[in-house]
Amino acid sequence: MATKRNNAGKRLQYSVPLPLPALQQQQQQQKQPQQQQQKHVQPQTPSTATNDLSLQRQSVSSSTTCPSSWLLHPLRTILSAALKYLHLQHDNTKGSPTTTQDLIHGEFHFSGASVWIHEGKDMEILFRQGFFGKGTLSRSEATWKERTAGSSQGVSLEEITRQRRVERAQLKMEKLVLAVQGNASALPVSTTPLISSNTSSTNASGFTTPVSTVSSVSQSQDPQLNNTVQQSIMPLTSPIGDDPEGVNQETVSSSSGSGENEEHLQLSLEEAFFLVFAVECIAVSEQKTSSTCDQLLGGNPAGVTPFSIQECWLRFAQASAFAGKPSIAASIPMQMPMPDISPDNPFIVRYAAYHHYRSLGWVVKDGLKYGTDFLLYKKGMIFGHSQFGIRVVACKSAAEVTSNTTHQHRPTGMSPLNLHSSPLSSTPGIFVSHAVHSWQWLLALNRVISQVQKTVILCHVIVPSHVSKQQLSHPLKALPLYTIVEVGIKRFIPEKNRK
Amino acid sequence: MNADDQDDQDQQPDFRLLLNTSKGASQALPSRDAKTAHDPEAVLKEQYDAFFQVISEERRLQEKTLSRAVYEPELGLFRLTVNKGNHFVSMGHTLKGNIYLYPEEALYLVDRSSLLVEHNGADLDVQQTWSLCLSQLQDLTGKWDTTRAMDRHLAYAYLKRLGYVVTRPGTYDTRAVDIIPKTAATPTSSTLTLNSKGRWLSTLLWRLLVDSWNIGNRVILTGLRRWFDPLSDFWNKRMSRPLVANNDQLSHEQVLQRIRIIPTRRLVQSPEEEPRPHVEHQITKDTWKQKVDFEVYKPAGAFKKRQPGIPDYRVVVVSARSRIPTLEELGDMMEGLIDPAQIGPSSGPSNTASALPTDKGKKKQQPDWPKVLFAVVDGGQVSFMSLNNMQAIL
Repeated sequence: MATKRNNAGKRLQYSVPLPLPALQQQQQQQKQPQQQQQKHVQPQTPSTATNDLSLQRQSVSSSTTCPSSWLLHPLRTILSAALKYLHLQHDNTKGSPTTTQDLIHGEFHFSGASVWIHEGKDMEILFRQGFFGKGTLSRSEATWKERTAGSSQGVSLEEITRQRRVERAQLKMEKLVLAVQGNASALPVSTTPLISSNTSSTNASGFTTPVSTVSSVSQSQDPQLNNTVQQSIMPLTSPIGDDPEGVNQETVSSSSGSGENEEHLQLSLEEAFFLVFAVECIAVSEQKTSSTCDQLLGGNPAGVTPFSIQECWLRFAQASAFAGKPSIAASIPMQMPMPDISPDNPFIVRYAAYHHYRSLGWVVKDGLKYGTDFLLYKKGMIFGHSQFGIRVVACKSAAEVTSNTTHQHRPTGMSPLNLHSSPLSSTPGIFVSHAVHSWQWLLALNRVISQVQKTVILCHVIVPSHVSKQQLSHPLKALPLYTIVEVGIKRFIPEKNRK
Repeated sequence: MNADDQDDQDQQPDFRLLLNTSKGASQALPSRDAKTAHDPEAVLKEQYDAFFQVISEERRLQEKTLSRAVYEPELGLFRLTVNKGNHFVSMGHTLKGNIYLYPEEALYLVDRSSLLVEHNGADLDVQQTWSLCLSQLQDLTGKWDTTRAMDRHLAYAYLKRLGYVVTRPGTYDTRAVDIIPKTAATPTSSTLTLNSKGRWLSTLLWRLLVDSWNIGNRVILTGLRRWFDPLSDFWNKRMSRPLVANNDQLSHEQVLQRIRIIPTRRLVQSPEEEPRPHVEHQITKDTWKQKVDFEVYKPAGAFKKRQPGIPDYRVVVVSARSRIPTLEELGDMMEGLIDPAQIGPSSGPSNTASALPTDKGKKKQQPDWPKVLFAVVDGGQVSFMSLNNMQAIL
C-alpha cells in the first residue's frame, strides 16, 4: 500500500502534460478537491479531467458543425477571417504577451546538435511536465544533485537500480552457497553450470558430464572447491563493491563542490524546437563561448538575446545537415539571411513526425536503444512502457515519383537494392550488412521491437516537391506542406491465425 | 507482437524424429547416449543422414487418388482430364466446361503425388513438371527470373500445406467473362429509358451548379486570403509568434488542437470519394490485381467457388533483398479494401467484434486496419509480414 500511495504521489508530480502555466494551474485546481477527500485519490483526477475535456470538446465541435445553409457559409467565413486578421474580434484565449524573462533559458550547441538547460528548477519543470530532455549524468531525469547530496530518499531510478542489483547479487551468492552445500551431500544440483565452469581448471577435458565431475570434486578436493567458490564469489561482489565506493567518491566530491550542479538537461533539436515554436516554454540563445564572458556579464542569461522562431528553425536545420561532418561545419559560418536547406533536411523531416505525434497527445522520446527514431508513450515514461517504435521515412511526393519513373512498371519485389547507396543511412561511412529499407532490414527491426512488446510504425513523411525557399524558411509555412502517412508493421504467422 | 510469436515456429524440424516414427520405433525421443548426446559432430551427422534418408524416399502414388491433366501451351494452363479426390473444390477454375489448373496448382498437386501431367502424349515426371511450371510462371507477366517464380511457388505451397485456400486474384470473380486471355471482351451497350435519361441530365446540371459554387467560394476565399496574408502578417507579426504562447489560457485538448498543423493522409480511399489527385496514368478499377499475387481465404471458412466472398488476406510475394514498397505501391495494393478510419467510429470492425465479445477489458479493440500481407522469401524460408495503414491514436 505504501508503494501504491508512492505511485499515486509520483503520478501527480508528472501529470501535467506540457510545461505551460495554464495547464499547471488546471492541475492545481484539480488537486484541491482531491486533498479534501481521503479515499480514492487516484481515480478522481482522471475523471474530472476527462469531464473537462469532454465538455470542451463538445463546445468546440458544436461551433464547427452547426448546420448553416450553403449560402451564408462562405459569407460568414469571409467575414470572420477578415475580422480575425484585423484583430477586431476579441480572442479571449490569449493572455498577456510573454516576455523572455518568463521563459526558460536554453543554450544551443551547434556541434552537439542539442540545446542545454542549466537551471535546476527548469530541468525539473521540463522533464516532469511532458518528459522533455535527458539529464547528462543520470538515467533519464536529472537527479545527479539529489543523489550526490547523499540525502536521496531512494526514489530516483538510479537508486532503485542499484538496490535491485545488490539484491540480485545477494540472491546469487545464496544460491551458490546452497549449491556448494548441496554438492557436499552428493545430490544432483541445478546450478551445475556454475560449478563446472570453475572446475574446468581441474579437469582437462572441456565438455564432460557435470554430475561425475561434481561428485568427484566434492569427495576429494574440498579445499580446492572452497577456493574456486571464493573465486566465483569475487567477481560477483566486485560490482557491488564498486557502487558503494562510487557513491562514497561522489559524496566526497560533492561536499567540496556543493551548490554547483554539474549536470545539465540536454534537449534534442526536435524537442527544443517544439518548446520554442509549438508551445512557448523556452528561449534559445547561442552557447556561451568562454567562462570569462560569464564573469563579466555576471552570469546573466538574459544578457544574450534569444533566437527568434525563424532563426531557430534555420539554425537547427543547418546543424542537422552538418551533423555527421564536424570538420566541415566548423569552417562554414552561419549564413545569415537564408541558409541553403533542402526540403528533405533531416531535422525538418524528423521534426514533422515529432510534431505530429506530440499534437496527438503522445509523449515522444528518443528511440536509439531499439534502433528506431522515436518511442511513443501514452502518458509518460513512468506510467508504463512505450507502445510504438517510430521509424521516420522521408519519401518523395507522388507527382515527383511518377514523373521520374514513367517507364518502370516492375513489381515491388523486383528492384534490387544497391548495398552501398543507402539514402538515409544513420551511420554514414559504416558498411551495413543489409541496405536500409530492404525487407531484411525491416524483419530485423521488427524482431527487435516485438521482443520488447512494441509495434513498429513506419512514419512516412511526404516531402513536398516544389517548395520555394521563402516557404521553407519559416515553419508556419513549411510544415503544413508536409504530409504524414503511417504504416504499421506486424509479423503474420499463418499457423496461428485460426488454422 | 507477443513473445510467443518467435518461438519454435522458426526452427527446422528434426528429421530423426520423422524417421523414428515412420519406422514405428517405440521411443518418442532419440535416446540420450552418454557418447553422442554432447558430441555435436555426431548429432549433426545423425541429423544429416536422417534428412537425406527422408527426402530420398520414393514417392508412391495410388491410382484411385491420381488425377491427370494435359498441358495446353496456348493458354499456359493445365486441363484436367481425370478428376479424383476433393482437391478441386477449392482449386482450379472452369472454362468452357473443363477444369483448368494454374501452374502453381498443378505443381503443388504433382508434388503431393495427386496429379500426373501429360504433354505431347507422354507423361511428365516430377523434374520435368517442375521446370515446365517454373518457366510458365516466368512467362506470365514478362521479364521475371526463375528465383521469382520459385519464391512465388514456395509461398503458394507453404500456405496450401497449412490448409488455406490460395487463388489468383479475380479467378472466381463472377463479373469477369474471360474465356481466352488474349481476346478482349466486347462491351455490351446499355440503353437508357427516357425517364432515367432526364433524371441523369438533371442531376448532372445540379452537380455542375453546386461544384461551380464551391469552386467560386474557394477562389474568393483564397484570393482574399492571398491579399490579406502579407498585410495581416505585417500587422500582427504572426510569423514571430509560436503556435501556443506561454500565457494562453487553454486546456490540454485545445492546445493539441491548435498545434495540429501537419496534415495526414490515408492510403485507402472509400469508393465514394473522388479518385486520388496524383493519379495521372489510366487507372482501371482493378489495378491491384496486377500487383497482388494471391488472394487467401482462411481454411476454416466454407469456401465456395460460386461465392468466394471477400478474401481474408491479399498476399504479395517479395524477395528479402528487395526494397519495401513505396506509399504509392502500397496504396495500389490496398485498393478496394475498407478503411475503418474513414467510415467512422459508429461502424466498428465487422466480424471480429461479434466473434469475440469477451475480449473487452484491458485490450482495446484493434480496428480492422486495411492491410496487405507480404511473403518475404529468402533462402527457401518464407516469412509473412503485414503492412497496414494504421493511425497511432491515443
